[in-house]
Amino acid sequence: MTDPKPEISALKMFESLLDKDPEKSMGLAAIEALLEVLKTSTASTVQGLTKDLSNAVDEMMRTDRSSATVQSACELFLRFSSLISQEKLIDANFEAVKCEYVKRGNVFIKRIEKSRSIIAKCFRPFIRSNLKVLTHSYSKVVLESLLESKAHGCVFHVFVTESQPDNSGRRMAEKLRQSGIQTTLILDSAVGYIMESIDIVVFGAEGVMETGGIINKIGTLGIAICAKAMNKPVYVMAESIKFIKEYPLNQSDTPNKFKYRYSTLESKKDALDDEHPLTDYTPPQYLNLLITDLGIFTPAAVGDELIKLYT
Amino acid sequence: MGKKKGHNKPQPANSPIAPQAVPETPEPLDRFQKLNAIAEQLKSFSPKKGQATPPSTPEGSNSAPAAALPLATSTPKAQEKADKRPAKAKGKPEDLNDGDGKSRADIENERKAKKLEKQMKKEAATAKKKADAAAGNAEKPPKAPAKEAPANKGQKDAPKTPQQPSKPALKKHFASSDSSDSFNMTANGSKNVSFKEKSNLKVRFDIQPSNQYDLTERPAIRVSSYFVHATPHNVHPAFRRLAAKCEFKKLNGVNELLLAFHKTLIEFVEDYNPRPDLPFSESISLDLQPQLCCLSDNGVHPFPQAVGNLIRLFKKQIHELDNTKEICDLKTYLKEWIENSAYYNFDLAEKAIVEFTISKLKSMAHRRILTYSRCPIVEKIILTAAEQFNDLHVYIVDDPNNGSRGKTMLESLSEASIPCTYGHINSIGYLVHQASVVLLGCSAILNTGRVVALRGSSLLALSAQAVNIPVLVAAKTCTFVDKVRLDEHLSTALLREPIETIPEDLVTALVTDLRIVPPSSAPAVLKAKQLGYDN
Repeated sequence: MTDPKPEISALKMFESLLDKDPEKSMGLAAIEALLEVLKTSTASTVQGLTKDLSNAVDEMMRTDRSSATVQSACELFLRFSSLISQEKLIDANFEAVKCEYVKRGNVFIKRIEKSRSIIAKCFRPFIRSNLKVLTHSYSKVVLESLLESKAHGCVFHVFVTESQPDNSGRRMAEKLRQSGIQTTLILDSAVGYIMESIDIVVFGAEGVMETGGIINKIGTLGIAICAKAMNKPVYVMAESIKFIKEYPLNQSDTPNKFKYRYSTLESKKDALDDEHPLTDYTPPQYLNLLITDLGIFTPAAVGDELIKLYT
Repeated sequence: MGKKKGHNKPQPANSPIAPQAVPETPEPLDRFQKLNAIAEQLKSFSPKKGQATPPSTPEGSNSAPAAALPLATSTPKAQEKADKRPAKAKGKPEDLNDGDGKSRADIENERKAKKLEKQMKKEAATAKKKADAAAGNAEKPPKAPAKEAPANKGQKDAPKTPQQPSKPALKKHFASSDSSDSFNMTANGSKNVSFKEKSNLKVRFDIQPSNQYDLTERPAIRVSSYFVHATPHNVHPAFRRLAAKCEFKKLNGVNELLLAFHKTLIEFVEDYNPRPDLPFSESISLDLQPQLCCLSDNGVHPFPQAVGNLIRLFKKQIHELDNTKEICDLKTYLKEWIENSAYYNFDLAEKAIVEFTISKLKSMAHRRILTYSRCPIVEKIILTAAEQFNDLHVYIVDDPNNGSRGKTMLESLSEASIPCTYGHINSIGYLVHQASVVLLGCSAILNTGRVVALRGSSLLALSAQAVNIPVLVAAKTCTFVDKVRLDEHLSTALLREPIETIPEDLVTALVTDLRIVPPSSAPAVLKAKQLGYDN
C-alpha cells in the first residue's frame, strides 16, 4: 500500500491483508495491521504512540466484519506489547522503546499464528471414528481442526447448518467436502430434528466473554440450548485473542457494536429494533468446554484466564 | 365439661394451664419460652392414680383409643371422626389395644407435640395479623407524597389479602381439633391425658426464628483453642460498647458492624499501653486476645466472616511490625492502617461497586430493580442511579419477622422521589414478574462462590432464575472468605441476624470493587486480595 500520506490507514491495511489471504484469522490480520502502524508511526513519545495506536483500533472497528474479534485482538496486542520492563520505559531514547514494542509485537504475532494449530491438536482426542458432529456457520478454527482430524485418519460425519442470512454454512460444507469429509448441509430449523442423532456439537466464536459465554453467529444460542436439553456435549474453539473484557448479563446487555455491523449502526442508529442482529450471546451454562491455545477450560475458568491475560 | 367454648383461646379454660393467661401480642422470645414452660408443666403434671397404668384397666384402655384417635382427627376430616368416636369407645378394649401398633407413651408424645405445634401456628397467625395491622398504621404517616401512597397501599393490600382467607380456615381447623380434644377428654372422663415420656421432647419452631437462635447450643467443634478469661480489667470498654450496641440492635448488618469495628480498633490502639517486658507487637497481640474472647464468648461463637477477615489482617499487620521503632510511631502506623482499610473498603469500594452496577443498568431497557430488605450498598446504588436515569422503579421485598428493615430503605428512597413498591416475602411471586433485575446485598462470599446473605435472599434468587432475570450481588472484596461451608443455624458473635447461603448457580454476577466477576471466580479474587488462610 503506497500512500502519499506518511501514515498507513489501518483499516485499508486490515482489509487488504484479509483480501490477500481469505483464510487468515481476522484477529491476526488486525494485529498485523496494528504492527505496521506501530512501525511507521511518527510519534516521538509513548503517549503519542499510544494515541496513534488507539486511533488505528477505532478505525478498524469501523469494519463490517466481526468487530468483537478486532476489538479483543487489538486490546490484547496493545497490552502485551506495552508490557515492557520499567528500566526500558524510562530510556530517553524513544526509538529504543519503539523497537522494544515492535519486538514484543512480533513475538505476540508468532504465538498467535500457531494458535489455530494448537487448538486443532487439542481437539483431536475428542473426535473418534464414526462420530456425528454438528457445527454452525463458517468458522475457520473449526474447519482447520476438522481437517486436521481427517488428515490423521479419523472418519466422521459433519452436519453443517446453512446459517442464514448469509448462507455461510454452504461455504463450510464445500470446504469440508473438498477434503473428503462426509458432510450434510441442513436447514437452520432442522437442528431440533437432527439433534438426537448427533454426538457432539462444535462452535467457533467471535468473542469469548468474561462470563465464559460466547458471541457467535446468530442461531448459536438455539443450537446450544437444544444440545443441552438432549445432553449432547458442546465444545467451543476460540483463540486466546478472542477473549473480551465484557460481562453481558443477557442478550440485551451485549453491546450493540458486537451485534450489528458498523454500517448498520451508522445508518440506523435509532431504529435498531427493526434490524436483525447478526450475533447472539450464549451464556456459559450451555457450554461444556472451551478449547483454546492456552489449554482446554470450563467456562468458569475463563474468567481467571482473562485476568491472567489482561494483567 | 363443656369445653367447647373459647375457640379463640389457645387453651380451654378448665385445663390445668388456664391460670396463665396467654398475652395478646407476645414477644417472639417470650412466647417461645412460654410454650416451653407450658411443655415443662405438662410433663410434670401428675395424673390421677390408675390412669398412667398399663392398658389392663378400663380407664387406661379408654385412654388408649382416645390417644390413638387424635392422630386421625388432625386431618381436616375432623368432624367425621369425631362422630365415629363414641362408637369406637364402646369397642372391646383388648381388640383396640392389639390393633394399636404404637406404644401409648409414644402416641401421647406425638399428640402433645402436635398440640403445641397447632397452638404455636395459631398464635403466629394472630400475632402476624396484629403486626400487619400495626404496620399498616405505621405506613400511613410517612407516605405524605400522594403519588406513592395509593401505589404502595395497593401493593401492600395485594400481598395481604391472600393471607385473610387462610386465617379463617386455620381457625376452623383449630376449632375442630379443640372440640375433638375436649370431646376426647369428656369421653375418657379425665381432666387431661397422662404423659409418661421416655424421651425429653423438645420441639424447635423455626416458623418465626427468634433472633437470638438457641444460645445454649454449642458448635460441635470448638472454634478457638486459646482461652483467655475476659475480665473487666483486661477488656477495653470500646469492645464492650460494641457488643452492647449489637445486642440492642443499634448496628444492623455487616457493613455497619465493620465500620464500628474499625472505630473500636482505633480506640483500642490509641489507648493501648504496651507491657514493659515484651516487644510492642507481641504485647499488643497478647492483649488483643481477651478483647476478642469477650466478644466471641471464648471462641464459642465465631465472628461474622467479614469481621474475621479484618481481625486476621490486623493480626498479620501487628505481626509484621518493626519493633525497633518508637511506640507512638508504631501506634500511628497501626491506626493509619486501620483508617486506610476503612477508607478502601468503604468509601472507595462502595464507589466502585456503584459505578460498575450503573454501567450494567445503563444497558437495560427497563430499569425495574427488585431488592430484599435493606443493604446500604444497594441503597447507595439506587440513589446514585436515580440521578442518572429517570425510569427507575424499585420493588422492595421485606421480612416482617426480622425487623422490617426494608421500611427504612423505603423511606430513604421515597425521600429521593424514587417510585417504590413494598411487599412482604409472600408477595415475591407477584413482584418478580414485574422486575427486570434483582440486586442483593451480602455479608460474605465463600470460596466456592456461594453467597452468604440475609435469610430470604435465596427466595429472590430462585424466583429470578425461574423468570429468567439476572441476579446481581453487591459484594465488597473484604467480605470474601476462604471457607467452603457455614454453619448457618449457629449464631455469630456480634450479629444475631439469621443468614443463609445462596447457591452459586442462582447468581448471575458478583459486583465487586475490583470488577464484575462470575461467582465461580471467587478464588481468583481471594488470591488477588491475599485473603487466603495460608497468606
